[in-house]
Amino acid sequence: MSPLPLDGVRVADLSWIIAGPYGTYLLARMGAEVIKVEGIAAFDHIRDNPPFADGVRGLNRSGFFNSINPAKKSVTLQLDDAEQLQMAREIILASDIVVEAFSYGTMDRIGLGYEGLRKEKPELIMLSCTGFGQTGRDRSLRAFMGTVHAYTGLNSVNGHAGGHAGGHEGGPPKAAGGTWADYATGLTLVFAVLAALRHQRRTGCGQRIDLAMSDVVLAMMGAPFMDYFLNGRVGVPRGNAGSAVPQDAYPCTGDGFDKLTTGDAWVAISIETDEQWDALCGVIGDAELSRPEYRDVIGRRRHAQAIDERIAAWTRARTALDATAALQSAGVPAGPSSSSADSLAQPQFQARGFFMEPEHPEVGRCRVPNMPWRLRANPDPPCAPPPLLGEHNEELLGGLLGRPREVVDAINAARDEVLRSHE
Amino acid sequence: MASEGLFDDLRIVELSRGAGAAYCAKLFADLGADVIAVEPPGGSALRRRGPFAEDTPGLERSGLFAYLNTSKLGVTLDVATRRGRLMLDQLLEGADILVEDNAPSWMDGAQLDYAHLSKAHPELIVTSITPFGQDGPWRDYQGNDFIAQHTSGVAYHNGARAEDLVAEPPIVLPGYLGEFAGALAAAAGTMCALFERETTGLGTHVDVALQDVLAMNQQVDIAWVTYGGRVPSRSATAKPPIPYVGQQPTADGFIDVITRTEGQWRTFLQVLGDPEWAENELFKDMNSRSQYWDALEPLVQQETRRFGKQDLFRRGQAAGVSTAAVNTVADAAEAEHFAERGSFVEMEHSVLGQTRCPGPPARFAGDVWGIRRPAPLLGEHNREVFCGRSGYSERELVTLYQAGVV
Repeated sequence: MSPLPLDGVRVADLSWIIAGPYGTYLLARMGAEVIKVEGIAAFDHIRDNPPFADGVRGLNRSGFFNSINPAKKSVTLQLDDAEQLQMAREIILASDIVVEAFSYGTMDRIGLGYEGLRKEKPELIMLSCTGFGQTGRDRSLRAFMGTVHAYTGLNSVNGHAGGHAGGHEGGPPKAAGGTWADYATGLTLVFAVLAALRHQRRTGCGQRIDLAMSDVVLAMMGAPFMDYFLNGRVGVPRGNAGSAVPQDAYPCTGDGFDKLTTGDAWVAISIETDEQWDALCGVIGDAELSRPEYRDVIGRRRHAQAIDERIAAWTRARTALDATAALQSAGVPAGPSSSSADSLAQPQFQARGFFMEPEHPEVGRCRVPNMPWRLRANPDPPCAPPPLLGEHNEELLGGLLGRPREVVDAINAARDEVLRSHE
Repeated sequence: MASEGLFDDLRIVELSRGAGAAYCAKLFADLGADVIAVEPPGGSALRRRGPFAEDTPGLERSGLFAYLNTSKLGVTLDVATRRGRLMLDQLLEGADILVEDNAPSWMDGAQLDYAHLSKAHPELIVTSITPFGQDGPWRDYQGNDFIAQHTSGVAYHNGARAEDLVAEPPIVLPGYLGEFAGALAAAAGTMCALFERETTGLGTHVDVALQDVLAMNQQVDIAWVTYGGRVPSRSATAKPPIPYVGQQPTADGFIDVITRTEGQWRTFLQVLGDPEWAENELFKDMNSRSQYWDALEPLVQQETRRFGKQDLFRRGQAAGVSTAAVNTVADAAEAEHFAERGSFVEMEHSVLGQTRCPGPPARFAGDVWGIRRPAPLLGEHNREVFCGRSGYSERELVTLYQAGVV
């Protein structure tokens, strides 16, 4: 096995739900030893979220948890118990990086604050991941990614355009789909801690990183914010409209995927140049579309609705995959607008092995999306299954920290009790 | 203004077409890396993307370009010419990283594919951001942020809870967000490549496919498909797996409410003034509320409409519920919290004047992040870079300019 970039790096992970755990999952896949410190009662509560394997509840059976936490170790410690808090502290001090996602001030309150830790280990890198950061009046807000999507203004510019999809007036705001801020924050976490670690290796200096999901999202919203700062414009939802015309998702007769279907199917088309427009006309072969006034972008924008109707007349007779193949063969930017279910059968995802299925000791198969980047020498780094709750108590508390057998046994017994009570 | 950055030793060359490579390189540049953005002599395509100051287009008027190119040097070069390609090689000579987001076939055509680049520059890390990646049957498919948001599933699920499946197509998230996400993945992957190089002494190719990055956003749905056998539907009548309350109307806009536990749901009801339906047997627990959500939601809305959005937001948070007003871009830009935190920073630009832009996505202790210089005007640093670094004389630069190479 070729060496991984982060071999020998240890991360103490006191984060949960999605943002922190996604970031530490990526670190783990790149070779870091990620130790997930979970409370016995305050375990990563995504563990208790459906869907469960075979529909059977259990803290090791959540598909949600299992897809974000592969390749990590799990140790259970009650941080309100002085002896176990001390063990958590020792794990942190044995690590290069600590990631925490407690609400503002909690780490200080329980005795794991950065100032205290750095006195013992000046080169420690500590990243705090919260919704709204470590400074500012709203730093203590209770925040999930939906809170962040709303507060940052993202939802206010997301949604269908009012009236026709190609129009300009905005429709009502729409909660951003998926779990946008969480994943973007997880990616930023990786960049930030590795920037700090690289600097630490050069200078010996530790680092304190304040990662706010809100800052991550604001920094991604350059286009609407610059429009506000330069022009005073308050953005509204515009659906699929953009600088490319025509640009929309057009209805299809079916998706063309061989497995699961969802009842509606669409092909996305985005025409950025006159050459692409000519190519589109060539594929569709509709005399209506060949009108001279449609040959430049001004004309196409003026007649967007009529053009969209002609394109839809063509797409409606095809599956999304067939329409994509026909358009792409002529160099027209197009692709099926897939549901998650369809993604699993998409030829490109399949060819790149994007959905992995590591074997899980309790539930068997679990499905994990692969890395969002690939390094040429090691495009598919190994992916151990997600840890059972407290799976590594013995290895870490007994082995790494050298605690006696009876201490580990007692913690395991408490852990087993929690597992039983959540079946 | 930051003095010493985290990346003062790093040299990066950027060949960007969209927001992906530009944002990736900005993440490094604002932390101190030396970044040279190489544009074609006619200017980067990003200069033609709005918003434009006063809605007047112009190569120096794009607010998006100005935001994404802070702290960089800018040169012009036609890399499709022999001399231009040679001059690019000279820039890559001392560089650690090349960041680019061009079509693989375009890179092949300019002999900028990884095989060529690694032969000439074995220690160079090449980070490529494309819609579909560097291999597979769709490698050469045409695409952009819009197409990748659709093929990844982001758009399909962003268009969820549609009242009318046919009238409401799947929709993308605004503002090229897919390219920004790709940039974050590219920056993280590039950091890993830097660590790899510490041990191997060799560069590598970092392959970032936008649709891979974006597919992570659907991971919860994929878990449902895998374990639950439930095919996610966009229909508004499809029951949400867990009713988090979500976005609801208020007297003056919208509020977003997330109740993950029974306790939070109870508390939210108290904030609403304990409506009498609260004790209804049908809504007694999460499963039951999920089942009868269609009946419950209008009752919730009746209550939320009695409040202003900021008022209900503050009341909910004070009681311990994750509420948030659905802020407009103006609300967010003027929010006191962000002002106190410095989430937006001042930016000086010779054409756009004094303006603001979003600040750092992550904050480090010390003064390491900062806008080191405004975005370069077209070809602003040709002389500094080509004469000062690559050793061309001023006369040669004139010749190159006249030949259309720079």
